[in-house]
Amino acid sequence: MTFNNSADNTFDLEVDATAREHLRSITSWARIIALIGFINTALSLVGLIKAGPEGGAFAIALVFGLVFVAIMVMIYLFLLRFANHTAASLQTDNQEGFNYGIDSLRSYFKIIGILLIIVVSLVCLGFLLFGLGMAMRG
Amino acid sequence: MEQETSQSLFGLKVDYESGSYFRETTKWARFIAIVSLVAVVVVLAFFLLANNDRLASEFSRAYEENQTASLPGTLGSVQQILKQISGVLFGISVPVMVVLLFLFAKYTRRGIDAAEKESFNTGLKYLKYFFIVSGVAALMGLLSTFFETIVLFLL
Repeated sequence: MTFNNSADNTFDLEVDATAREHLRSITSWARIIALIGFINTALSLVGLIKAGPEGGAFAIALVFGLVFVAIMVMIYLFLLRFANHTAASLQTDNQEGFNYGIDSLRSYFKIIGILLIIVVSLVCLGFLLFGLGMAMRG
Repeated sequence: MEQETSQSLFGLKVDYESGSYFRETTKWARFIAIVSLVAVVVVLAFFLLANNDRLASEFSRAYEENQTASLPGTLGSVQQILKQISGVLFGISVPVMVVLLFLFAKYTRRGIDAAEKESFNTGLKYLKYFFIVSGVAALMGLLSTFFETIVLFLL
């Protein structure tokens, strides 16, 4: 029986004491970031509602604000899920919990990556429109 | 019984399932790091190459329009100082975070593909540093948002 495949090699990779120490620290910070993120998102929503302009513009801003809040809550939920499940699995040596935690970390980075694609596209469009606007004004 | 089946006899391992999750995580982390680095370079290049008075005045006008009112007295000074510190920390932390994320992706991927424990641990070490820097940046962001919210309610 050979183990030439890189996927099979992962069976040899044990989460040793050093990796556990790093993961413990990572999960602690991930939990802090998620909690700060929840508070920050709530404060942003409060600010949006308080500073919102009158009329139709406010409704549009509120819709965009709520979409933003929903995305941010989803991101921080994945981060919190990663932190909770990985931290618990480190204490109980639960392989399923560990896998679930890493799956949440994957989802966290995946969502950020997709958002980054959207933001970069919008920024490029913004710069293009800004340049066009400047050129048209002479 | 259910508990026994999910609990490893030899401690936690990066098995096939978590290995594939780690692989995909590193793929996205690398992508985020590279795109962010390119974005930082492009934005810097844009400002350096298009360094003319008109562009500067357009941006300063847009900046002033988006400025919120300041708190009076000592709180106002604290708000301004906090804003400047946040700006400087943000400017420093973004490139640092990008590098740390790239190093996490590089070493973790190498560790998993070659089953090298040291590379894997090095990757996790960089992820730890990434989360520490992110945590400090998030804390500064929270303080900044907190002051902005106070300003909205007081003024």
